[in-house]
Amino acid sequence: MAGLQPSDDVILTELKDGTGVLLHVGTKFYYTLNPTGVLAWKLIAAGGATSAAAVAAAIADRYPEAEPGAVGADVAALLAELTREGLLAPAA
Amino acid sequence: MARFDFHGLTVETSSAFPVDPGALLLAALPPAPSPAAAGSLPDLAIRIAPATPAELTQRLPGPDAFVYGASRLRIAGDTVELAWPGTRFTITGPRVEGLVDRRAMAQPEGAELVGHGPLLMALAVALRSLGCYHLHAAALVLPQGPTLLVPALSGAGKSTLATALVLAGAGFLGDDTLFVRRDGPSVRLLALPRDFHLTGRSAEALGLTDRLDPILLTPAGKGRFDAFARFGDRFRAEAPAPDFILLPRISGEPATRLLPAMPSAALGALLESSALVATRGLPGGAAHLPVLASMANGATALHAELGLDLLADPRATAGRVIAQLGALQATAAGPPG
Repeated sequence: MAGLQPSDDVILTELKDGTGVLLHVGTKFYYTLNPTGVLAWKLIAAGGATSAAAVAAAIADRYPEAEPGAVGADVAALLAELTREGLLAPAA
Repeated sequence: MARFDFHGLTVETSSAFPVDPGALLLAALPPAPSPAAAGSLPDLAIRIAPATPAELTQRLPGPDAFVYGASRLRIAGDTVELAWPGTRFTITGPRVEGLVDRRAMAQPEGAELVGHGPLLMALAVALRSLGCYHLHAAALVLPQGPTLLVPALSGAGKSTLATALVLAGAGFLGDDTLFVRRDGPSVRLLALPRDFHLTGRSAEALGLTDRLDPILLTPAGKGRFDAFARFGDRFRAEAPAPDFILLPRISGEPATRLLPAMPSAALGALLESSALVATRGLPGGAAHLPVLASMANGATALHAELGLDLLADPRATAGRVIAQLGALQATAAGPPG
């Protein structure tokens, strides 16, 4: 998976405990993210990492105690789900 | 024509019908100065006139931006249109123009149904341009002082819990209709006083069967309960941002329990209870979500697993909930200094 960006219809709201909520104003559905999910979303939204591999590498840098393989698998699964729900889309 | 004071805003309503649906919806608000005495335009104006069925079918162009039951909302430029069977309201800023089929008004309780149905929704749209956002939630003030917000969809036990808490000594802003407004870094809860709505089963458990108006107003078959007649001294027109957000669910277990919830769960419930937050193009759109996030961040969120004890002994069960929330509040505040 490569070249992702947030849909224009999605708004992230960050909360005090580090979690976040994505609101899709097109479908009216909302999705909750854990703190790592929020970090992944913000990396993609900032354009610093637009592929699963790049996001996983950035998160592994942030959490060196995490096992890189597990981080990669978790990030790939998250981004696949966000794409399936229309929250992420291929970058133009 | 009548003028009401909605939390510092003058709302003027008039109608060509013998009974004004706007005056019925706003009846429990304090009166505002008369137009002659005030000598100024109202902050928000409602006008309702009769219309033919053909006039009601003349819609704004474009797709529906929001659909709720039989209602259809469209947006064109600065104008929002709300079409509901037998009615069509157009809202431009804080101006509400309603067209209503005479046959709808001629039905039993027709003016009440128009007032508490499509007009309430039109008012919710118009108030957004004045920084007030509708929330489908109960709001209570516990005897120890904390404010409690219970956002939930119909059928989650919100009104039953709210009424039980009032029976146990809590003050109330309402059981299902509330407005929130930014107040500096925080928000303020604003009541639009109106009847509670209870099922017959809940009313029986709460010992209020004789006070339940049997005329049905909701699709869920709930009847009206005049909380002001029974508990008028407990009514609170406003309250500060909630200390607690309770997320109710009927569990079917013997006992009611409060369990910790994440702030994201609270925000999710607030989103579900704010039907217009995800509709683009409405006035006040950008400021709505931060108001909800402020409440989710500022409150302690708890799942309220409503057990069978709430119907078996509502007053005692609500008393235990109040005691538990009081203990949590005391813990959060720390030891007295």
